[in-house]
Amino acid sequence: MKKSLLLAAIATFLALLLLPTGAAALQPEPRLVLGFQPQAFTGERVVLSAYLMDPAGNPISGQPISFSMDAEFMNVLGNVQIGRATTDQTGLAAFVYEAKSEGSHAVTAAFAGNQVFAPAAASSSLTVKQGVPTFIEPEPFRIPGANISTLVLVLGTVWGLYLVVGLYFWAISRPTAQSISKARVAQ
Amino acid sequence: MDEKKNLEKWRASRRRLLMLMGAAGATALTAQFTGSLLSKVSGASGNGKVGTDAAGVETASAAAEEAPGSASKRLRRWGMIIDLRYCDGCQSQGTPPKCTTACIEGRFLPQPMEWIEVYEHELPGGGTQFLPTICMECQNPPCVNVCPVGATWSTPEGLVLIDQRRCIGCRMCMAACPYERRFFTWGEPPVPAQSLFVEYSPEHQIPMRRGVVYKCDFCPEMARAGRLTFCAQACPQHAIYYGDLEEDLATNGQDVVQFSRFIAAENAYRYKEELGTRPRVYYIPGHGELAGRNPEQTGRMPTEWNWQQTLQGSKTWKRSGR
Amino acid sequence: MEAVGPVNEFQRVLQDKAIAPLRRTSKSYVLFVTALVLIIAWGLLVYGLQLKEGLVLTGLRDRVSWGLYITMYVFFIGVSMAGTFISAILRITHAGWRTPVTRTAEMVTVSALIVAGIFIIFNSRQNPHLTVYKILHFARWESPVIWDVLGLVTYLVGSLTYLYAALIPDLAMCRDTVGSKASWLRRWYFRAFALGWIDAPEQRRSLQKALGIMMILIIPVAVTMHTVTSWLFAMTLREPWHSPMFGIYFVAGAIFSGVGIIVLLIAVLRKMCRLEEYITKKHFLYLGYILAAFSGAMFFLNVNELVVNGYTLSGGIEMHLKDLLTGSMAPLFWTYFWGGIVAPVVIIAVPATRTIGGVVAASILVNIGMFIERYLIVVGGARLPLNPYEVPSYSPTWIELSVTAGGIALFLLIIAVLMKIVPSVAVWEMVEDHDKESGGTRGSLASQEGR
Repeated sequence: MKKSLLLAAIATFLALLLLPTGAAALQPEPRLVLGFQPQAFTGERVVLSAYLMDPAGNPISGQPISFSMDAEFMNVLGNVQIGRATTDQTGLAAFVYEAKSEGSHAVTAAFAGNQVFAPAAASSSLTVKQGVPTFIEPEPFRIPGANISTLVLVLGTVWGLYLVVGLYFWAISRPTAQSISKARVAQ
Repeated sequence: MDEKKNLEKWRASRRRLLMLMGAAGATALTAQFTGSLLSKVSGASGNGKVGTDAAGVETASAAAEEAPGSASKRLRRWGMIIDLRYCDGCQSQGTPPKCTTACIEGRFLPQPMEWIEVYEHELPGGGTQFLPTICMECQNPPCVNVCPVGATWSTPEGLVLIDQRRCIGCRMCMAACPYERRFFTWGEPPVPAQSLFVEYSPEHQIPMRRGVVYKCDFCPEMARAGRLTFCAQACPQHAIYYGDLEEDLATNGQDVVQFSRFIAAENAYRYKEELGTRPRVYYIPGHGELAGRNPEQTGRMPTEWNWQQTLQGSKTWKRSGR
Repeated sequence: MEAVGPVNEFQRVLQDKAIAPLRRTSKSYVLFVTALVLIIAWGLLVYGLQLKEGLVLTGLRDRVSWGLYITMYVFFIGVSMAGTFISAILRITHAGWRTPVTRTAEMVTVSALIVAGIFIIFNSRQNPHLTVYKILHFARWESPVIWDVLGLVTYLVGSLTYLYAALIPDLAMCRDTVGSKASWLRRWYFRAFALGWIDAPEQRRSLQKALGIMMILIIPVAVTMHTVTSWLFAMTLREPWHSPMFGIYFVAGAIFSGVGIIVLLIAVLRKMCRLEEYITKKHFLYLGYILAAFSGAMFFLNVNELVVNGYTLSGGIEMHLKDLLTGSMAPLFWTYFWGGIVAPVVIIAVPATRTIGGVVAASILVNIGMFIERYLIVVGGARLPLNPYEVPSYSPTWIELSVTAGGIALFLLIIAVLMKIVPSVAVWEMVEDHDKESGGTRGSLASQEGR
């Protein structure tokens, strides 16, 4: 009697122990394969391809994959979320990332897992070298030279006319000899 | 008769000489004036983005201070993101806003200058939100456009700097700034001993002088040292992000985010966007809810200028009124 | 070189009266000038204090950073419009009645522009010569301040040229009548600046051409100058200022306040120089009509601004309108509106008050009203909060008031000095006018050329 009870207890204990792993074993771990070009220049659009497959190699579709990147900015190391994409029928989640941050970065694709599958992640290194500037901001609307040309035109006309008037003053200061003599005679 | 004629001739020639001298003087003055105007044709691109003579030195050195690894082509394009979901005006801290305190202590701002000022805006749905308001470092800056002597200019990195040596104190820029982020030293500002060891540069604006305009400058010397601005460092909720739009990264000291994606995903907006100033500061809407704040909790602690107490008898002025 | 002497009684009497101030200095004049000099000296002393201690001595602060100095600047720029309007526009339209008042108008313009320039320099933080040097050396043509400086200098030179052009025959007259007892300086001055005017036909032609150019040129220059002054405010992003209407508003206001000042000055001149028979009720009435007309214009512009803004209440203007019409600025605004705009029209419209005294009273009201209006524009616009905080206050301190008093005294002093060195009425034009009216014997250019 005691022996059977002990055996039952041990069996229950072992079963309980194995249960989680069993449950885990019920959630298959998918395979996530991440591929992209290892090198890029800034401004270049890099296609990050992540394939999500079940252990048998069948593609898993319709699952969100989030992409992130290790980066350092102002002496702060962090994991930067750069986007997400959903797997299609072939299990491919493609995300276009415009490389902007120079240096060597570990790019990670992560699958958060769902009721069926366990989470998975894959990571690969992307080296970015200096290329073209990526931030293009259109200039505020300006008509080049409009300001200075208006100023020069207006001021030039006005001061030119002032000069002309000055010349008339100069002309006034020099009457003809005829007028001088006439004036002298007139008084 | 002849004598009179000679006298007339002499008088006429003297008159001519006087007029000539006057004309020469006027021409010299005008020449200098127009000369300096026309020299800007070759120098400036007409949109206030390029620095003037004295500033040319500053912009060159600013260019030289870029992060190592990026040569002349890629420049930093500084910007800030302020996540209002985390800003509660430091109500949870029970202190005056720490960003303001850090800026005041770090930059030795005389009372009542608050380069970062936490304003409390009323929300249309009721309650209030706190908006830490800094210089927006606009890309179509009204202040730069109106300055008569070019004492303020836009650097290629997007910062708007002031050369206090050139400023004539006309305060046209203060009238033009729609965010009211420019401050004037009406009286003699108290200068701490530390300032006197520093050689003046528009990039750190100390030692301060009387009768010129000052404003937030995104702490360029901190950026050069690879450190965040005082306000970003000090925020206990890490609500302030300092970032570079060219490298497209921003950090608040804890996390690193992709600048463009962060502001797009979180529906960031810019303050008074409709005025067309193109500010470089993005706000993520909120009222401090992620810091545990209720919008009905109004009020914050008033700003303090503690460093000034170390200077005996330093007296400054008020924001308005006597 | 002697010119033709006065040929008729009218000219002789007029010449005597016009030149009298240049010959003799009355006791009251000396007293007046002494008082002005004392006030200016006091203003300079106080300004020196302001330079030493900084602008903290004023009532200006970060929130309201433009105050009384800028108000006086705009006011004097406005006053300076008068000369142009009276002289040039009335000359173009051959309005004969203008002749006794043109000289005063032009003197007012020159004086007002100089004082306005001084006020704007006093507003900046440092020594005037340093400010001027920096503006000249580092000017940016994109700045409205620089446009303003260019406009002011251009208009000042234009006004001086115009004043001088119309002055040449009168200076010749002074030169001829000054006599040998006068001082060497006086004789040299008249002879030098009369440019050898002997009323020769070619000289007349040159003068008419010069006056023709200036009278047409000075009008767009003046209008541009006032528009550019308004752009100091309109180019900012503050609600009451950022309006395309500011240009016309300032121009109309300028003509309005300028005519008001001229009425006051010619009333004083008339009494002082005993020119009652030349400056008659007709002149005051005509100036009064101009005042009333521009009253209407100001009324129209004010109503436009209030109604267009008040109908939709957008863009933060609501607080400003409430303050202006019913709040803290309301007493000033309604004084300006009823006293400065409506009352002058009523005074001039009602026949009983349409007298010299009435017009002078109207012009006093106009000046007070326009000063209030400038103050409301500058300070009322500056105090509108751009961020959520309480509406700031501003009140001028005794420093600002002293310097302002000094500036006004300087304005009056320059006119007083000018009245001593040039005849205060345009004698030759009045004589021409009189001769034309009476079909005169000496007559004009035509009969001279016939000789």
